[in-house]
Amino acid sequence: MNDDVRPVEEGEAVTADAVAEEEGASDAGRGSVESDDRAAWRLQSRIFGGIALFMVLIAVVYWFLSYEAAGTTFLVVAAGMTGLPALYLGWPRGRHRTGAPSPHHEEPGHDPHDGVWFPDASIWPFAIGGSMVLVGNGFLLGRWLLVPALVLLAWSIAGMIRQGRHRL
Amino acid sequence: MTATVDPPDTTVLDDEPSRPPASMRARGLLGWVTSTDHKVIGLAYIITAFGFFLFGGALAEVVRVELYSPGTQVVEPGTYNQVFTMHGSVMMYLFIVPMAFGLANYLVPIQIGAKEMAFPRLNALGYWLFLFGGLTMVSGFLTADGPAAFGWTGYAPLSEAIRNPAIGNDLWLLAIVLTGTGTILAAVNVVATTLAMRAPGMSMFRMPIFTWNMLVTSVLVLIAFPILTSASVMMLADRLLDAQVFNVEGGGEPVLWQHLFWFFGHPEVYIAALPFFGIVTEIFPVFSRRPVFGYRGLVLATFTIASLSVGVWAHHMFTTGAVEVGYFSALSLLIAVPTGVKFFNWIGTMWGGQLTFPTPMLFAVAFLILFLLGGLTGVLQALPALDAQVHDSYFIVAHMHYVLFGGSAFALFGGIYYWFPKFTGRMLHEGWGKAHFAMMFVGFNLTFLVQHVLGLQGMPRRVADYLPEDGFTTLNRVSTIGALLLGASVLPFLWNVVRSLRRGEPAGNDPWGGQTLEWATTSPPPPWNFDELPPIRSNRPVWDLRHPPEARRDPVGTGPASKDP
Repeated sequence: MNDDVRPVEEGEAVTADAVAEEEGASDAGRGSVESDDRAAWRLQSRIFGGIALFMVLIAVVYWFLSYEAAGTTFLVVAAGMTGLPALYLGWPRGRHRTGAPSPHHEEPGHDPHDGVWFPDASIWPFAIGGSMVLVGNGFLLGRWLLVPALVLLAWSIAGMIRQGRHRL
Repeated sequence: MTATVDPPDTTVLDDEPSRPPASMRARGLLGWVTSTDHKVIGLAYIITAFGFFLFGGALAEVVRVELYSPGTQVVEPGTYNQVFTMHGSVMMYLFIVPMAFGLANYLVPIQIGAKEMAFPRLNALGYWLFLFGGLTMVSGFLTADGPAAFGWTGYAPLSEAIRNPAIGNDLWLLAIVLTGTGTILAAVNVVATTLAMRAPGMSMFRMPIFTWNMLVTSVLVLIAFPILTSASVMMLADRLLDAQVFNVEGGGEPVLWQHLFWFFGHPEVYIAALPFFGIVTEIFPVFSRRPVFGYRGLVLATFTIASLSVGVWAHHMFTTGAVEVGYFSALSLLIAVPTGVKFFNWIGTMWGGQLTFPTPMLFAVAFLILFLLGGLTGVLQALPALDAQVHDSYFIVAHMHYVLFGGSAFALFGGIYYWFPKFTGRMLHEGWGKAHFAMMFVGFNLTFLVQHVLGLQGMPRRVADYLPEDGFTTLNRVSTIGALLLGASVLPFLWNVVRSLRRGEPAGNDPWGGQTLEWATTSPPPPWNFDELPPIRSNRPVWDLRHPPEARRDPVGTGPASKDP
C-alpha cells in the first residue's frame, strides 16, 4: 500500500488538522484495546437505548390515540428487544480490574484463548439446515418423514455442539 | 477526520501466521458446503440470490407479456396469480434482502478490520436455511396445483386453506419460516460482529457507512422478522391444524394478519433499502475524491429512518378503515426528513469534488434520481385521501419498483461493479458495464414510469386482463417493451462477469483509490483478511495511508513532499 502514497491532488478535500483533532477528541471509544475503555460500551448502549426509548414513546402515543392492542404490543415488544442489548452493553463491567491490558478485546464474541480468528470448517450447519427443511416438510408431505428428520436434526445439533466443545 | 491518535507503524494481527486457515479444510463442492469462511458464505449468498433474481425476473417477463394486450396471451388467470405471487416473493424474500446480507457477510468484517464474523457456524447455518427455504418456496412449481397464489403479502382470508388449499401455499409459508430464521441468524452475526470485533482504532464513528447501515438493518431485522416468522407459523397452524387465528368464522381476526405482516413489512422496506443507501455512500466519496459529507448526520439519519419505520406499519392499511389514520400519516410523512438529510449529504459529498463516472458511479447517480422519484410518490401515499385513490392500483406497482428496483437494485449493481475487483481480483469491463447501465436505465424507466399513469387512470394491480375500451393498451405495451429491454440488460452483465473472470484486467489491491479498509488488503483477500492492518485514525484509513501527514501539508501538490512521495 505504501507504494501508492501520493500527495493530495488539486481540489481534493482534506480535513483541516484542527477539525480532525477536535473530532477525534470527542470520538468516544476509538477502539477498545485497553480493558478500561468503557466509552465504546456506553456509546453502543446509548444507541440501542435511544431507539428503545423512542419505541416506548411512540407506543404510548399510539395507545392513547388508538387503543389498539396488537400494534401497541408490537411496539412495546420492539422496545424491549432493543432495550435488552442496551442494558447488556451498558451494564457496568470490569471496573475493578487492574493489571496490564489484555491484548484482546474483552467484548462479546471474543475468546481470549483464540489468537487467530478462524473457525473450523463444519458440515453441521448444512446438516442442521437440511434436517430443519425435512422436519418442516414432514408436516406437509407426510408425518412419516418427521421421525427420521427429527433424528437427523438432533444428531446434527449434537454434532455442532460437540465440535464447539473441541474448540475450547 | 485525520490523525488524532499516535499512529503505530502497522498493527500486525495475525499472531500465528503459519497456521493454515481451518475454515476451508476441503476443496471443491465439499469445501464450499463445509466452509465457515465469511467470504465464501458471502459469495454463496450473492450467487444464490442472483440466481433467484434471474428466476424472479423471468416471472416478471411472463407478467408483462401477459399484459401486452387485452385477452389471454400466455397464461390463464389462475396461473397469472401464481406467477405474480412468486415474482414478488422471490424478489423480496430471496433476492434483495439475502443479497444485502451476502455483501454484508463479505464486507463488514473486512471493513472493520476483523478476521471473521462473530459466529461463523451460525452464519453458515443462516445461508443454508436461506438456500433450502428458497428452494422450498419455488418447489411449489413442481406440485400438481402449482405454487402460492395469494400475493407476496399472503393476506388472510385469501391465504386460508379453504380459499387456497394447494400445497404450494403451505410450501410458501414454510419457506418464509425457514428463510426468516436464516435472516435472523445473519442479522445476529452482523450485530455481534460490528459491536464486538472491530480492529483497534475502529471506533463506532469510524466505521464505514455501509457497515453502519448493515448494523442498523440488522437491528431492524431482529425487530421485524420474528413477527413474520411467527405469523407464518400461525397461518400454517390455521391451515394444517385447524387453528382459527385468522379465521373469522372461528373467532379469529383476518385483519390481524395485516397488522402482523406490515409490522414486518414496513421495516422490511428499509431492510431492503438501507444496505443499498450504504453502498452508494461508499461509492460517492471515492468517485468524487471527497470524504463523506456529514458522516454523523448520515448515521443519525439512518437511525431515524429505522426508528420511524417501525412505527408506520399501518399506512399500508389505510383502506381497511381499521387503523388510526392521523398517527400513521404523520409518522410516515416524518420519514421524508431524514431521507432528505441523506440526499443532502450525498449531494454534498459530490459537491465541488473531482467527479469521475465509471460504471459504479453511473449506477449510484441513477439511484439518486430513481429513488427520489420512488420516495416522492411514497410521501404522496402517506396522505390518506390520496392513498385511498391509488391503493391497489398500478401507481403502487410503479412506486414500489422505483424504490426497490430503481433504488435498491441500481445501487446493488453499482456495488457489484465497485467490489467485483475486490471479490475476484479482476476488473469488470467498462464498455460492457456502460452498455448494461444504459439498457437497464432506459428499460427500467420505460417499464415503470408509464405505470404511474396507468394507476392514475384506474388500472388495478394483480389483474391478468383488461378490456380494450379501458384505454390501458398503449401504455401497457410501452411497459412490456421496456420490461423486455430491462430483462435483456442482464445479458451484457452476465457476459461481462464471465468474460472478466477469465480475462479481465487485474485489479490490484485498490483499483478505485478507495478509502475504507477493504482496499487495504489483497484482491481477493486472504482467508485471514489482512496480512497487515493499517493504522485506523479516521473513517477513511486507506486514504490516510495514501496521504501521510507530510504529503498532506501541501494540498496543491507543489512542495517537495508532494514531488517525492
